[in-house]
Amino acid sequence: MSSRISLLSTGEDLLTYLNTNLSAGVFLEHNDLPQNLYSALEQSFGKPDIIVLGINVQDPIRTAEHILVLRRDIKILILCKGGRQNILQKAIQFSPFLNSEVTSFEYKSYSSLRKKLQMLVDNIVKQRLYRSAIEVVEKERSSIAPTRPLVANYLEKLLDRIPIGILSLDSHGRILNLNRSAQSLLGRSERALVNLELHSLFSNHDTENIKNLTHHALIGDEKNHSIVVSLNSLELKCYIEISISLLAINTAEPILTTIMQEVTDRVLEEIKRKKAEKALLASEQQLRLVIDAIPELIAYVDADLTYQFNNKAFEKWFGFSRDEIKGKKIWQVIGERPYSVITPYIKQVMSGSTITFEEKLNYPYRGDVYIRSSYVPNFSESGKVIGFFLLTADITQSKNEEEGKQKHMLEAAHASRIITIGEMSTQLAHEISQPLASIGAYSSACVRLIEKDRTNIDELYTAFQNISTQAIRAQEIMHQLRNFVKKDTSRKTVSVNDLVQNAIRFLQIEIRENKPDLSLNLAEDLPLIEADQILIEQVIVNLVKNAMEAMQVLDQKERRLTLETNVCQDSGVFVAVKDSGPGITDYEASKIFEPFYTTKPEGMGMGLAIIRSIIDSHDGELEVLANEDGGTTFHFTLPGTPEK
Amino acid sequence: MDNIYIVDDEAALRDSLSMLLRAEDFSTKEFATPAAFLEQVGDLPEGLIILDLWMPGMSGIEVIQELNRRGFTLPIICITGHGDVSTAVKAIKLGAADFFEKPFDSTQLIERIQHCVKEHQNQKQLDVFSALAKELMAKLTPREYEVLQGLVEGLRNKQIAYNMGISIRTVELHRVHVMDKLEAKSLSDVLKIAIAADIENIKI
Repeated sequence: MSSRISLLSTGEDLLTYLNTNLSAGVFLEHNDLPQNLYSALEQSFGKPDIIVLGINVQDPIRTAEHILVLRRDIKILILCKGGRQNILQKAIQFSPFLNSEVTSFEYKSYSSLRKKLQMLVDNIVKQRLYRSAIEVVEKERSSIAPTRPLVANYLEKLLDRIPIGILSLDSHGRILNLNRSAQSLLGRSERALVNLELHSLFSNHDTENIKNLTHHALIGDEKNHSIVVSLNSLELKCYIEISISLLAINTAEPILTTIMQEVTDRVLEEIKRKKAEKALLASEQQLRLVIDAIPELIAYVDADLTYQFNNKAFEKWFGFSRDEIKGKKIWQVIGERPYSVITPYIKQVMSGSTITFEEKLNYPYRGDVYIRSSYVPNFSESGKVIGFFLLTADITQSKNEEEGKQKHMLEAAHASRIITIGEMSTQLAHEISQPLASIGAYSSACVRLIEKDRTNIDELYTAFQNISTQAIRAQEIMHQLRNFVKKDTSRKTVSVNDLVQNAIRFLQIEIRENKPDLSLNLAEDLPLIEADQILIEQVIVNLVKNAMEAMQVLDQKERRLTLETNVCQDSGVFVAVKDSGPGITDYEASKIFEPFYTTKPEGMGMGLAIIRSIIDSHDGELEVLANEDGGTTFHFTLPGTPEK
Repeated sequence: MDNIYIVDDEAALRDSLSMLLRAEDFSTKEFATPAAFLEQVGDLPEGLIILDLWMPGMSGIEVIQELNRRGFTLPIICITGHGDVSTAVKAIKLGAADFFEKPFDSTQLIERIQHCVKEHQNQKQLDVFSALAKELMAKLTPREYEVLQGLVEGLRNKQIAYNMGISIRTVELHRVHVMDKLEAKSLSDVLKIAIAADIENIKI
């Protein structure tokens, strides 16, 4: 570690002084002429670290420039006498070729120069030490480089241990290298696999898929980056998921990184699931077929009263498609009016009870329809009602048949058993009007002929004969009526309470229309009596009918009808029919049983007269009373059977 | 027209009515069933029908409907049973002249029949006159018809001439032709014929 100082024109004395006084390791040389120095520098025997230009050197600036043209990195110290240093320094600064390496020094004594040189030398030494230290470090660092392959080795080992097969492929799909997992997955050694095309390891179908996958990876298509292929190894079929991606994109030869993972379990699971789903679907379809084939309406409604499911019959019934029905509220499908009818039933089923009911509903576009419905609640696991199943059948036809039958029966009963006295009166009037009309016409004709004096005895004779015949016919009609009332042959022992009940049943249609507040005060232990059942029933029916007709003018709330039976005079029976109608005046009460007296615009005035004769024929009594609290009471008595 | 056709299932009523009407100088013919009547009615001379609405087999209402269908306009007096007002109303609505409830007042019935017969005859006369008037009207030229319309509206010759854009002289000429063609002796005859023929735009 020596340093070299070259002196120019400084004199031998200074050289000697410096040789003895500077630190060891400093090598000094001296030149008298600049040319010598230049040639020494040109010959490049090494180079001095410092060059000192003596005071006597002519034109030191140019000399320094010359030196630096020949060699760089040399410190140049220009010695000068006192007072010249400033000028010299400026000249250095203004020279375009000189840098901070060139400095001027005011030369005073040997020792001051020595000190300056010593300082410079020390700095140079220090710099050299620093440089060598850096070199050492760099050397050490470069000596570490050969350990890098070790790291790669570690990664390879790591790759071998992870349970995922990793392969590198070239652009033709040939295997470049692969880890151990990949070898075990493919069931072959590395040596057997390298340079093989990956797709050649799989069956035909998968080959194409892998080729495709490789192609997509090569063109940088991110989609379809993984497929599942099957591989037969040791008779066991295993499934491998392969994904290929282009990682080393900047290299000249693209390298495809392939990742393989065994997914046999997953695939088998999937296959199993699909099978189960298919089976489920099939059974669902069968169920659907069955449900659709059922002619009854089937649907499922959730807690929001929205249809979730329905069968074919349901669609047909309402004329909506399945998609249209699903998600609709009940009233949107069946209409507001029917909905209001079934609302209470929906409330019941939503409270958790299974119900069955029959109703008459008026569906829009369908008219009146009788249905029988069953609602079955559907419970959640927590026991909450989350909807209900409904099953509805159209029973209109059977209902109509049933009603028709009932009506027919009622009509038959009506015709055979009881012709109300009003109807009888009308018939009677019609019958009697025939002979009367004839008698009237014959008589008028005779009168006119006599008036016109055109009498022909034969003609008049025939006319009078006919008049007589018609009169007899009228008499016969009246006779029939009397016989009808006086039929003694059909007397039986009857319970009057039963007769009252029968009459009420017969009048149920009228009672339902009139809606009176009906009370039956029927005495128990009523004696049985001998009577014509049909006639007495007729009496009761007609009295009740009259009562209801009288109350027609009242509000429904004010209509009160009371039927009463009681024992009378030991073994007799008393029956009263009491209404809350407008009542009866004394005059009316005195006339009311006379034939042809009537207060009804359409009436004949025969009803009560006939009733009276029926009661008379039973040796009973019929009376009418005005009630104290308004309305009228008709009551009659029927005597009991004489004790034997 | 003094023919009366009695359709009633009651023999006594038919016979008595027939005698009554004959006493009033009508000629009568009796039919025991609606079917028998409908079968012969086409060949009968015009007459009034006395029809019982209560008959077995075919009701009186159906008989009226059938007559209407065939285009007969004979007057009909119906006879109904007691209180059968609704059927009677139906019959009147179908064109029956009147109805009587059994038993009926013979004098009233006779009066009614006489009235109906007279009315029918008047109507028939009117129809004949109307047909004749229409025939006469058909002879008029359009110009003459226009003049006639002006006359019916009560316009003066001058106004008619102005409306039609012709001279008064021409209107007078047309008027003479109208009178000739309608065989009218006066303006009032012309108006009668025009009204009978139901000329358009008669404003009252």
